[in-house]
Amino acid sequence: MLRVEGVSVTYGRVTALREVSLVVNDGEIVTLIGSNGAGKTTLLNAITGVVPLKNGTVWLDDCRLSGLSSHKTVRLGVGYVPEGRQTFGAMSVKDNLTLGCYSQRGRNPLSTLGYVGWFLRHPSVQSNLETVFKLFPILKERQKQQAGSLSGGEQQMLAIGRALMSSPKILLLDEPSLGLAPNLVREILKLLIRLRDEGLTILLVEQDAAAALKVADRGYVMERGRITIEGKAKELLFDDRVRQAYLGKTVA
Amino acid sequence: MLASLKRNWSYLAITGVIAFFMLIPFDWFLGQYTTLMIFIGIYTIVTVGLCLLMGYTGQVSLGQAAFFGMGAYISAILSKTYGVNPWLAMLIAAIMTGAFAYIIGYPIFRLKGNYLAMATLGLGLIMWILFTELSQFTGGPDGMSGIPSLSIGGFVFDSSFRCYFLVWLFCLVVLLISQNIVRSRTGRALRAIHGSEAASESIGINVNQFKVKILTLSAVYASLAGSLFVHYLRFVSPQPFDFLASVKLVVMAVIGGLASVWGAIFGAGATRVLSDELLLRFGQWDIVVYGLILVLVMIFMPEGLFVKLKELYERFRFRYRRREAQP
Amino acid sequence: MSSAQFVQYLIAGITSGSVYALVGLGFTIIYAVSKIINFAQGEFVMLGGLLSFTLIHSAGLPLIPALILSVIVAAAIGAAMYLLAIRPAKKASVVSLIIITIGAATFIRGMAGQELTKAFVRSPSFSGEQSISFLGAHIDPQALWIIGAMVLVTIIVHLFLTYTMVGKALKACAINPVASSLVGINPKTMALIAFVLASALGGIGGIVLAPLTPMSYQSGVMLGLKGFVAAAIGGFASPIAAVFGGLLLGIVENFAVAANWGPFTSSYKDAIALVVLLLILLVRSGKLAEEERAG
Repeated sequence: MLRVEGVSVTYGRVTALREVSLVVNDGEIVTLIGSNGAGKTTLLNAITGVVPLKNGTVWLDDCRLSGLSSHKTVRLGVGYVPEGRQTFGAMSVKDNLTLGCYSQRGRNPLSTLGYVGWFLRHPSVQSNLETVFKLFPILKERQKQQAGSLSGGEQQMLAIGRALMSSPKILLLDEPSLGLAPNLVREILKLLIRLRDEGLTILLVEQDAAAALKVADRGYVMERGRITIEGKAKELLFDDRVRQAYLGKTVA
Repeated sequence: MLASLKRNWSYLAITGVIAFFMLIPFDWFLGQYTTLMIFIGIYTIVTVGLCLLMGYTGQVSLGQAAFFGMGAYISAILSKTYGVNPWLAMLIAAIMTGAFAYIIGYPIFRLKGNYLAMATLGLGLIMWILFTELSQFTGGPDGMSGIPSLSIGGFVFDSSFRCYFLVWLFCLVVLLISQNIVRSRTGRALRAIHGSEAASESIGINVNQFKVKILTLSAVYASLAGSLFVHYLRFVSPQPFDFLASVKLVVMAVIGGLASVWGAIFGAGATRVLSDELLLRFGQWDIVVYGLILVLVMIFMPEGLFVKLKELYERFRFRYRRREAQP
Repeated sequence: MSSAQFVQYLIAGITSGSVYALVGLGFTIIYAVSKIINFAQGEFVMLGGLLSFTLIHSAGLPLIPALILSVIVAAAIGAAMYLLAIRPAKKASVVSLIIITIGAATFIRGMAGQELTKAFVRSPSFSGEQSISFLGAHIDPQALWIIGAMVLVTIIVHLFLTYTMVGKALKACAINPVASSLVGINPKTMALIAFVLASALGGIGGIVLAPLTPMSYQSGVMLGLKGFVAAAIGGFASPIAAVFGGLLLGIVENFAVAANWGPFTSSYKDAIALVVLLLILLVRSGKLAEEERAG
């Protein structure tokens, strides 16, 4: 369970987040919607330690995440698929996935300094890789190809696959639908439901509020650095304020 | 009433400082430090240029000793080998060095950061190799001696006592000119936006041209200092213009503070005192100390030691005044 | 120029080029991972040379332990430099970092002059002084050690970067530092590894060079600059490119001197590298400025 309690973030004099609190329970998809610049990405960055917090705490189960830098939060079970995918373009698909479990290499120096093939033979790494390849058969086909040469949708799958390689307890996704064709968006969202049904906890940031609320269990609405509305996804879909502001529907 | 009193005080302080400086070379006062003070004056002139350059262009020159050496060698060769009047030689050296800086300025400022630093380092080393290898002109590694002194009418600047006043007169003029630049509209505007080129362009300052001008000015300063240096010592060799010399100049600028004018005296003074008076007795530990100074100042006070000290002083004064104001 | 002379100069060029290649490799690795140009890179070559000389002569160590110890000490000094001078300077500007690495270089040079030796020194050759005849040219056996060391080290570095988890992490960090921290890679650890690796490479260069060319505590500046030229020829893009850059520079330098064109007598050998440096910087200035902005 992820608990964000009273988190504030400032960039210089600009306050990006004010006292934000939210909860993501185990096994649910929670979506965060809001307009551009509302602070959604900043919140994900704050949870993962990419940006420092000014106030507040973040807990994942019993581990305190706040105050840790991003390379440490990964080790504690936070998988983050950042905006713009951020794959390692000049490396192969397989290398991208291999690096995904860098945080799982443990304390054994052999797995760090030794031949990478030995590391990949580790049962947990191998089962993760199989899972990812089963979810995204296209990645298996293209595993030798450079990540930069993949299409946008494939890169998004790779970014999700890479995050899954670290066996995360919670997966954070920032605008996975950005720049993708509608059928691909549907595919990715369907995949999130499937991952949830297999027991993964998901926090999804989306611009496309309607699509996000359809797959989510619960939702939060952010405006200018604060959470203004929260509730069951189904209720938010029919909430007048949400409909007017984010679903592009005028209230009759 | 209070204001006029304060103005009187600052006049008094300035008069005191000037009197102190005038009295230094007299034997009954601090005469034994005359030579040291001459070197401080000469290096202050070079350092002011480097401070302006680093402060306004936000870039570091690792080859400033090349301009210093060009002034020294052109002055020495013209006045000794070709019998040109030393003052004229000094002027020609300044013009040639300035022109050289102006010409290389445009291509070199197309570079930034690491690459610019490396290019200036390379230029400095090329100059140093030329000073050493063009031995038919420069006397090679052994250098050349018997360079004539500067003179006005029958008055020859051939003693440390006389040169002291000459060098510090030059130094004062250079400092005042530089202060004018710092306080000019362009200077203030550039400092205010702190090297943001897009912002400067948008308020109508041709940044590149300004950079090249500052580089040229710093080269002219360095050249003048180099001329004073050789006409005082009446000897020149490549050693004072090697890579380490450029590093020492950066040390002086870093201690003095970037884009600060009066800090240059402090930087040049502290560095010369450190190397001539304190460290030479223990062998060449000065190099080690220079290295440490550069690292420590850059980590803890990247805006320069002098500037930081001034800031601390002002903060202290502010607090003191506030306490005074409270009954 | 006879063919024997040609071979002679070619091998001389490859020999000095091999040392530049090792230094250039170090520059490239550090720059890729941390976007820092380490102006102290050449000092590690000097350190390798003087340390191995001192350990053999003053400490009386046998050759092989002395060489291994020299590399370890050079690498340790590289680590200390990163931890004490670079890491504490948080959010330093490019210029601050330049001054810091220049300061560290000056410090290392001064310490070497004080603690090791002030004189020009030449280590004993690894395998005798008897020169080898090859296609009419006479080759110092040490030249073969230098070339061999460079080839071996390049292969090891390549294998390290391609086939180990850390190597892949270094590459990932070079490509995208933010994304790499999201998979659990600590960019600071990667920078430390890069500094250690680069200093060890420089140290190895110095160790194999010292029996061929006398070195002093001041030799680092020029070697560092030539290594930078090597890396710049390679565009700071890939380690292999830096190696070829180094070889190219060594060959150009030696043939320019051999040809004795106009001013290019042997005393200007160093100036050739500098002219190459300025040419590369000016020709590529547009592209380099873009990179700087992007980085």
